Amino acid sequence: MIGKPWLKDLEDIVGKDAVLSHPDDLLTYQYDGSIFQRAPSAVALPSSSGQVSAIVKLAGRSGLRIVARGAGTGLCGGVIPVEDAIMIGFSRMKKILEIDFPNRTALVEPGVVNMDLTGAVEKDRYFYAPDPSSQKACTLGGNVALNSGGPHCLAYGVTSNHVLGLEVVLEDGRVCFLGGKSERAGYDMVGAWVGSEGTFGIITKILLKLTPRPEATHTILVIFNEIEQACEAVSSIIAAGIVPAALEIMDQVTIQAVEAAIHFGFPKTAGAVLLAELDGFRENIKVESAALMERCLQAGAKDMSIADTPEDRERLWAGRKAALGALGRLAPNYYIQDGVVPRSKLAQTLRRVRQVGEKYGLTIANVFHAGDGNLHPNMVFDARVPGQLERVVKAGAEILKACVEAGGTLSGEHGIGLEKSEYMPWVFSESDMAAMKRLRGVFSPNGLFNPGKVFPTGKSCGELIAQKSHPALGQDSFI
Amino acid sequence: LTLKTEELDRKVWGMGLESVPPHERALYAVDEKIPKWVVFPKNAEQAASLIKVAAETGAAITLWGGGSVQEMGNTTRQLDIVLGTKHLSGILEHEPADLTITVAAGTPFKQVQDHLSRFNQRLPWEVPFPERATIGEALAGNVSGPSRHRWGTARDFLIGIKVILADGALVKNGGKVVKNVTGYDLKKLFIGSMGTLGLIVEATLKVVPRPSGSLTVNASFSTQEDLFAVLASPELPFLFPEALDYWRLQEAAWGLSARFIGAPEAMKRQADALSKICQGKKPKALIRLEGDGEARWWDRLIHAPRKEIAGATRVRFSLPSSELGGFTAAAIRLFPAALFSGRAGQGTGWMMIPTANVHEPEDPQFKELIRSAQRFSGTLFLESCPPVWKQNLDMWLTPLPETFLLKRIKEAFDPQNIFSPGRFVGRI
Repeated sequence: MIGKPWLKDLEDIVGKDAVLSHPDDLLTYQYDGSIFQRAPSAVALPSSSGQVSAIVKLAGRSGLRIVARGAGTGLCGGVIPVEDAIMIGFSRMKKILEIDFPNRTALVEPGVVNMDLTGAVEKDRYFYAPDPSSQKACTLGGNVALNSGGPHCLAYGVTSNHVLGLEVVLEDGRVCFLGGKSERAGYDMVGAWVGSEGTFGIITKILLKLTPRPEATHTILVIFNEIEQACEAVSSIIAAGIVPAALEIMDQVTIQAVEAAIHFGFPKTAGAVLLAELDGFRENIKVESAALMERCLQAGAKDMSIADTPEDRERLWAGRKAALGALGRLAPNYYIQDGVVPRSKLAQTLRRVRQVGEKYGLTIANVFHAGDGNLHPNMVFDARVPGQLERVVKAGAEILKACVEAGGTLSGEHGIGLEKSEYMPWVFSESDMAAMKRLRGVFSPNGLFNPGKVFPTGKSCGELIAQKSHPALGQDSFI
Repeated sequence: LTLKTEELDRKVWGMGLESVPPHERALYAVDEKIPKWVVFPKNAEQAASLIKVAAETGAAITLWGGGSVQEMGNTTRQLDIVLGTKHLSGILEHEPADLTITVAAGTPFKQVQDHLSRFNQRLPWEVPFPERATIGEALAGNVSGPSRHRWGTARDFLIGIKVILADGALVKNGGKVVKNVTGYDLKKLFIGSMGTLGLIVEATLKVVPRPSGSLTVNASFSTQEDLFAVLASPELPFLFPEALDYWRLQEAAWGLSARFIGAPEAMKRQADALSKICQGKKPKALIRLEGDGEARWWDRLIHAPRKEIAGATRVRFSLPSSELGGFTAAAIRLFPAALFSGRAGQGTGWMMIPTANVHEPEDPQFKELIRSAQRFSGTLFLESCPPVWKQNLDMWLTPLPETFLLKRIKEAFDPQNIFSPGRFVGRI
């Protein structure tokens, strides 16, 4: 209690059993899926908007900051406190409050796990479309904060396209509902809050769009000798006017790791695997899958499998879903990047990625959302070897630079957080960032929420890591 | 704002901008206010300089694309300069395989669609008067059309923007890639901002392939109860129409129009399923449209709010789509001669009231209409009305509790109130 006079007040707000402050209890909350870690001063587990509001007021009075945390699956250090902070956890705010089929909406608390929402509506043939690979664990609150993506964003859009309304707690403790089931007049504040990385305020309720499930889905797995051919196929498919629900690529390093892990049956010579999914009406899929396979053949496809039952489709996806876990066989740690480039620049950017790997002597595995131009180079390494982590971070920066130079940007779906904040000036000018900060000031004039994120602070990634006792590396990460 | 007239004249004159002669300025009047200057900057730099001049001299600017949404919003408190974007025009970048396009904001909407159609692509977006309306004004007005049922509105396909803020700073947000969480999503604020936050100079948009085929089912019913019973069918979302409109036009029947796209066999199956649902309510007419006839019909629906009744008082409503039937029933009881057209699946549309039926905003029926919308959890916006109404009435007829935040946003981006002061929600 010494030095934490506010702890008693915090317990009065949420109850003694909903406050964690013992160092052992805080261990769980000091990391996410990134290379950073630092424990908060205490964790509060509120169960209502009113309690969140009271915590926000208490923090304001006590000179503490607030960091909201979902499931901690994020990859950018977005929930790592950089100052003394109360962390708000949402494990007691995970109710689906309303499902409204006539209006195709769901009102949820931020702690609801992404996949549980689809689970609640699938018997009525609806689903919640954004599907980050961590969807079995990640929360919808975290998804909104980072504007999460996922393999099926190609056809269905990112989180931002599915958020209709938000209940938020502002810095003064005021609770407001933005947006709603009908279109609201005024500046699109809901749109601006999505992806604001917890720096505007605390989201306490989320109104989401539900999507009707198409009658049929086909999954096509295509094997190429060269990754350039797979990229060429992607460009050619899109240029032909086919927009599949998903278009994913795995490179040779990943394929071999997957093969060693789950014995999928990929040929030894496979240089790239393209996984495409088409959904809709059966007649449309028939036309589209024929055209898609034709394009793949023209690009040099060696082998193709097609699946139209849930079991067979699951089997084709197994390799993709096992990819990250399989990479754990190559080295104890991996570090994932999230650069985006225009789709037509995929092949040239992957060449740059390979060159960066050679320059730093690193194995880089690529498994990525090709249809969106969203790369995920994974650098596998051993953090126990002195200097390796620093090398990996440098290589990651160089890869992101290459993405920016190709007309792309720093993050497609993981967010900026602590990890990439120093790179923001590669993309945005001082005035661009000043305008963003003006917007934050509208909601949080004193910077109470999640300070030190998104914008450069002058500290290098290396310095930030050095502040920690040892880096926590994405063992439980997903992409 | 205290206007320094002489300084303004001297500085604008000194910039050597293209401007319209005094006798033509009336063509750019907004709510009967005639601007002192109507100028057309040649590029973003000139526009930024002009905005700085306005800030220095206390002048207020109204932004002008093609003028197609200029009647909307409250009367500005001050109007000194109309800044026209006709020279900030052109297609700047289009790589077909990326499914994105970057255009200057003053580019006419139709020019962009015509360009894309040569590559068998399109913006899944319709606006009234596309020859005249520019991309910038379609964004600033958050104009949308029937395709929003499937593809969403500008917020769903705008991926990058360049704007000039009130201090003259050229600011970029978003980018040219379809997935992006690099920094805050500032660009969303400019959609529907009606020129009150800054000047949009450039936009990057997602585009989609043109469909291989298109088929529309039109059904009309004797009563609006029958129509809304069909629209409430739980099977309807699973037919995946690209557009789903409802209407009561000059013909006085209550109708729906659903457009399906894709392979012929699939469209036929979708259309058959919808026809079956309609037949349960004994439609007065049930037809299918393709080709030119189909295009003409949708063009009529896109323009119906503007053209169906000349000089109508036009109210835009937004409700949860499940409340559309209830609200429409209440509204037609209050104004039996009113016509309707809207996006049935999105809960938004227009009510066109013949001017002879509504004399002033204090009419009891009109007051009751506003209350009805609130009862059905909706909001009303008066898009067009007799000019005299605008002197005392906030065009956003339903009060919004979040207006205090909208005011803070305006203050953060335009503290001097340069851009159309008073035009927006709550007279901000």
